[in-house]
Amino acid sequence: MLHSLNLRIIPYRKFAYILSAVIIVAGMVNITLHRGLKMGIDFAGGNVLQVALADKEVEIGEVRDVLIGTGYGNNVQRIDDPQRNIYILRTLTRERDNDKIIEDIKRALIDRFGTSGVIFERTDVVGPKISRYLMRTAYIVGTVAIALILLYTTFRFRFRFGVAAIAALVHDVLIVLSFISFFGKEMDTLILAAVLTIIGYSLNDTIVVFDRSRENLKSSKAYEDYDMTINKSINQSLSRTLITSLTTLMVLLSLFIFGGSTMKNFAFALIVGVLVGTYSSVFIASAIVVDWHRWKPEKVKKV
Amino acid sequence: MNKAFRILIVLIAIGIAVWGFSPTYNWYFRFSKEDRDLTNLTAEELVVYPEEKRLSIKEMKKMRSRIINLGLDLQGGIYMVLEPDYEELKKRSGSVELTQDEMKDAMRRVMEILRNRIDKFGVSEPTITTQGENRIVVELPGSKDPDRAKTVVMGRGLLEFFLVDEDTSSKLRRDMFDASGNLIDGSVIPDSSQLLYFWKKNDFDVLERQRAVVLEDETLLDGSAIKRAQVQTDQFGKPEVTFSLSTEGAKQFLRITEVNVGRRLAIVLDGKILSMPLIRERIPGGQVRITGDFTMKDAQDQALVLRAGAFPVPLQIAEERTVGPSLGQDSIEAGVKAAIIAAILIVLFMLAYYKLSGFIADIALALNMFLLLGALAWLNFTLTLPGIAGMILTVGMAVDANVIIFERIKEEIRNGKTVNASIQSGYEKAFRTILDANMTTLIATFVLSQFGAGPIKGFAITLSIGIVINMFTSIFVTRLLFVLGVDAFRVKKLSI
Repeated sequence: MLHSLNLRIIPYRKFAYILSAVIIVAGMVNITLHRGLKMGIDFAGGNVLQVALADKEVEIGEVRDVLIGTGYGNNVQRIDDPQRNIYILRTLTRERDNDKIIEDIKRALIDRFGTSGVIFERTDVVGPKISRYLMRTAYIVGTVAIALILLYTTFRFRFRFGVAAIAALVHDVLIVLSFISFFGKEMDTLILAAVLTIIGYSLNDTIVVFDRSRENLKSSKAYEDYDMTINKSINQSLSRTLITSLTTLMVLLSLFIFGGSTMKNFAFALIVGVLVGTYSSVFIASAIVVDWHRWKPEKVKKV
Repeated sequence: MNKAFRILIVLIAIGIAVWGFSPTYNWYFRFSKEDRDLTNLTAEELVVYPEEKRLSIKEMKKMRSRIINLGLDLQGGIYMVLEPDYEELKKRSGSVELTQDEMKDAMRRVMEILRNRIDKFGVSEPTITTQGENRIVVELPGSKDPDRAKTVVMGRGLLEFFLVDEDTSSKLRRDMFDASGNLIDGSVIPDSSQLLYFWKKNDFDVLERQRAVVLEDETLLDGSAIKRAQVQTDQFGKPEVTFSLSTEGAKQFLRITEVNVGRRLAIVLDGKILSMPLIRERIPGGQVRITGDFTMKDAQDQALVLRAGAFPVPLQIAEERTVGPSLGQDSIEAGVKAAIIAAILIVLFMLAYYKLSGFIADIALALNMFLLLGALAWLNFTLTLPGIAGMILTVGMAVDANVIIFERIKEEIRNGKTVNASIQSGYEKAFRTILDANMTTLIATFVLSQFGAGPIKGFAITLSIGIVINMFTSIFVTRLLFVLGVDAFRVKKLSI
């Protein structure tokens, strides 16, 4: 059923460019207005509050729900102690109003468990888990990875295909970051893992489509109608693109629906990422190759 | 390659995975929770248990280096609060109060050295954070060996060289010590000397004092002169720690050995004598070798501590306890439930869309996961949520590889080729696609896995291994199953 598709994708690429540009520009403006993405405790450090609950029957979920209710995140850890019921609550630092954060949480806990039900054992300021030094190394590593991918794709395909694949990848990451800022989600290790996953997914997806173009670009006739050759390649790999995205989305939706409150953010970022990754490999990556060809036609080359 | 040979390769791979995964299986499904918890005690704390128990716990500890651990986010771990002891720094700088800057600088260096040490500690995912002004919280995933963890985190890393006080040492008699090895009358040691011991681990890994030696008090050289430290084996295969000194250190070392030919030089780490070689001649070049009665693991830990440098201040454990997973047990249960549902959905979808061929893909998928778990266990990997993200992407790419192959085969069938020809050319064409797609992703993840930061590394390692296994299961194994199936049932029309 899918194999007979022949959608006119390349001729309408301008719309995709405009759509992507609008989202990315809006996202970047939004991020700039908020002075960067909201960083979670993993990146920015924060407050830690240790409480002991008198009622031993209280479960970690209930404590987490109280914290979520205050709007200061969901990071709760239980200390293994058979005699007592102790929890560590971590929240983000928001510079000046630290005292207010602690105050709000204390009040919420007392409301829920009663004045005699909670003992506040300690409050403190904690540093970030992921240090600035680590983030700096991450940039270097990212640059090295991009350079090597470019080298490989140049060797196996052509330089311009490599550049287009990297552009699609950067496009995907920017869009996902935009969505994270639109929805006011915080950057934490989970979101970082999600972004990494998206990079892997997007790259894989793009290369599969490019592979078809490489195969079809074998005759000089194919070069004459470059646009349509690329368009045909996209259509030929379309059934695979859709089936793969569908199966991945099935996994992610079940994580989103059944995975509990902590897993929701992670699944959300991945769902956006898969949709964007699929979109970019169909509408953006190949379109860049086509426009590059218009700007500087490539010579017929047997691969 | 003939079929029998290909079947053999698959069986060998399964065999290796079974061998790799079995300790993990035993650990989580056969051992009791109580025994597993006991392995979280240090050798010293285990002294109260009967000998037989201690030996079996020791065996379990050994086994633990071959299983998949769960990370902090999934099972919690050891939670240590460390506090720097500024007294010594005050003494050294000669002031009564330290300035804010001096304290901050010391803290910064402590954090840096801790990170360095723990990063090289293994594939686990520890977290190190500051708390307040001068507390450091170190969280180590639960199943890690507390003995080793403490050695690496707590060892000061202070290396010193002293000359042996031969006169006094030769006067030491066994009856001058009490039962626990303490000197009864301290006055036999001159003011300009100190009494130190050799140490050795007993059968239960508890450090015990061995021979006592009197050393002169003056530190001739310390660890700050070390440029590099590494572990090698000598000609008898025994581990030794070798290190190179900085230019300045090498000059000093040359002077020391020049004027002290014929004397013995004690190399002391954190107050424990490691080795006591005789100086036979002056030693230029600044290459020092420590041999002694220690295991490979000990030697590696020593080199690690020496490489990272010494803490500017000693650290004290202010608090040590175990914490639950940061995700919370409830979240983990929900996650497992979601994963099972997702797995069922994928299996059913592949069956529904690709029929019998989908069944082959499902087998390959299961094999992929199993081989991946075997490999991770063999690496003593610590599984965290980013690691699971890597696994999810592995599944995604494995499904994708089969989708690519099947869509190709369908295309070939539509072009009117026979069953065997379609399978053959379908696989050949799909192979190049899958190779390039997987290779590009592999390059990216390989670079990431070289980067020593917890969450990123965990993700990259699972995905890199997953991709390599994927090339094997999704292409090699499924093709073998296709060929076997087509032959056995004389298939005229593919169920795809």
